[in-house]
Amino acid sequence: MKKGILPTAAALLVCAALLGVPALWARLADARRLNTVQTRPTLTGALDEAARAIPVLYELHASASESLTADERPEQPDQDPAVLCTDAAGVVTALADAGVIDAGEQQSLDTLLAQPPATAACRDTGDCRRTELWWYPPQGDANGISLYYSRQNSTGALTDLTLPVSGSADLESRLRAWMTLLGLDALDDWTPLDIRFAADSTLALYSAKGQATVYGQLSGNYLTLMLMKDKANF
Amino acid sequence: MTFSRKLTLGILLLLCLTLSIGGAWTIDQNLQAALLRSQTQNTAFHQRERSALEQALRADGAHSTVTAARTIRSYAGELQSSVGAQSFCFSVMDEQGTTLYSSLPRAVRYETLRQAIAGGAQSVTFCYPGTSRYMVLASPLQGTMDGLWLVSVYDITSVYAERDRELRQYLLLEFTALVLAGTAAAWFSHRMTRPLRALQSAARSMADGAYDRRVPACGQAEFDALGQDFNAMAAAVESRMDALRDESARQSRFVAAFTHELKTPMTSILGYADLLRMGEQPPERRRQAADYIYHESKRLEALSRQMLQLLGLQQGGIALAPVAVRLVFGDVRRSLPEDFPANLCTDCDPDAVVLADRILLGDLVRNLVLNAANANPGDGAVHLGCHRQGDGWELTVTDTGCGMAARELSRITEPFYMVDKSRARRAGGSGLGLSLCAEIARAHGSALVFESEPGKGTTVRLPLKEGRE
Repeated sequence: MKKGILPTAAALLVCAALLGVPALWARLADARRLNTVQTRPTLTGALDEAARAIPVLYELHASASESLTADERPEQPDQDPAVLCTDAAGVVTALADAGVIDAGEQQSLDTLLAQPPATAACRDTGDCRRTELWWYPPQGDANGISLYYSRQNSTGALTDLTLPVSGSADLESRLRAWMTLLGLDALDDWTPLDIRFAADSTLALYSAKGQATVYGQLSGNYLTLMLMKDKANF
Repeated sequence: MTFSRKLTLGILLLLCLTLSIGGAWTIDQNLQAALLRSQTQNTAFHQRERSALEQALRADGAHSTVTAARTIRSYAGELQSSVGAQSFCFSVMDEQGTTLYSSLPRAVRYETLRQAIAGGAQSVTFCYPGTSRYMVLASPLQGTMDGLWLVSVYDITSVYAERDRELRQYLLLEFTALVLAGTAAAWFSHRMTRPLRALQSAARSMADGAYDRRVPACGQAEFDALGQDFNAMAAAVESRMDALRDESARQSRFVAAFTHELKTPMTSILGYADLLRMGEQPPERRRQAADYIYHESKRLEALSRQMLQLLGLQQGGIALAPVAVRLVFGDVRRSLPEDFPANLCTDCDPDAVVLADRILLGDLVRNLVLNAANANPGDGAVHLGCHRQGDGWELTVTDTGCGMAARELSRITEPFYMVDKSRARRAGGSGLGLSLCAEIARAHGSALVFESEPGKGTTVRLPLKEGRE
């Protein structure tokens, strides 16, 4: 009888010790957690840190006001067309340097900008400044030739532009070049969006990290490029 | 330690181990899930406050540390007045570690904030000052001035308090489960080992001499099989013990009978020798005394010879050879005394050849014939026969004498056992005749079969093997 007491007591002692395992485990886990840096969970719909580091995107999302249509934008009075053409020439140069347009297109646009525009306007939305230029063509075409673009006030980035093009470069290469110019190529999750009613060459890419859409269109010898908040519906 | 206790403790240990590890893992998983929820929620708060603070800084156009600090204080004041001081604790630091603003609890150390900033905008760090638990998130503020970091601290003490409550609750649950399981295991193991204890008790009883002790069936297949085997073993032991007891009794009877058989002639010899020693006796009386001494000595000599023959048969084998039975019957007929009291009728198949020792088989048949003649056959004849029996032959010795009771038949081959002692002594029997016959039959690989009925006679059969190839 006595021989069995010691092993029994030892077994019961082990049982009692095992009861403390959950508490011991918890303390050890606490200590481990205290000494490690954990990764923050990804929030759905939140701007990624990589996107926040891109000034044009950060400003796009930080802007309090919603984008206004061209008609809603108030026109700034007393704008000198020559000054606007000079600014536009700088834009054309930047686009050519980035590869959005080729040298022939740049030369054509520079020739155009050397002529005084029939109409020149500038509208400020608070976040952006939109420039609109329009020329009558030599042949007397009723539609004329136009050039529009928007610059972010804080960064100067071109977030929206429409200009005449004649080169053979495809839309995607122009769009990618423009994205590189804006620094949007830093995001690696640009995915094409389905566009239901695309009559001409159209391409739209969306980035979940950047919560933004880029849109490009080649229509009637005009190239249109746009940067928009969130996921656009076409 | 008993098996049932070992079983109980084994179950308890296993259960305890499983519950402890399972509980530890479950509670840790619960805590991790709660922390993840808390992280998600606090990250959302932090992002919102970060955007709001950036908006405030942009709105104020804060491009220097001084203006930024003023803007942040103003923002914090508005925040406290709207949602309360305890709701959102934060600090704003520049890259050099200078604190522009802080509403953090004192327990949160400066090193913790620096560690959170060093972890980057994607990290979560924890600090446990005293009994409090905090989650720390740090993100850079963008827009107007580079190098500013927002560090938010969220109190998650309630998450850990819930974990501790779960731990206490689980400990109580585990303890209760162990007590209940221990009780059930003890009862179960005690019940399960009951057949073993019954077996142990039976074995001890058998050791004490109760060979008739058996274990009952318990309804469990393994233990029932064990019990059956034990009972079979006990039955074998009991049977063996009975056989040994019978053998011992036979030995005792043999010694007593042998002593008696020695003592009877020795008494006569001593008496008559003493008579002769006492002095001159009449010639007739002297001759009578000498005759007694001579005959009793002859009886003793015959007794010792038969004893030697019996021992020799019991200890050693014999060489068997084909023997024609009719020759054996002839030997028997010639060896019978002249005063043989009965008529010997033989009926022997002339082809009968058996595997036997001719002399020993002759002795066996002669003894049986003499016994049959001493049984006072009613027709005055002893019938000796040999007939085909299966593959072999069967010798039969039949008389129509006094016969024997069934209870006598089982003992008549015991040494010195005599059904009618006075009649046997008168006939000069020593009581070893049938014992010798039985041993001779055994040496031939056979056994004597007695059939007898009192008043009607006796038949003795001896099956023998075919002697021809």
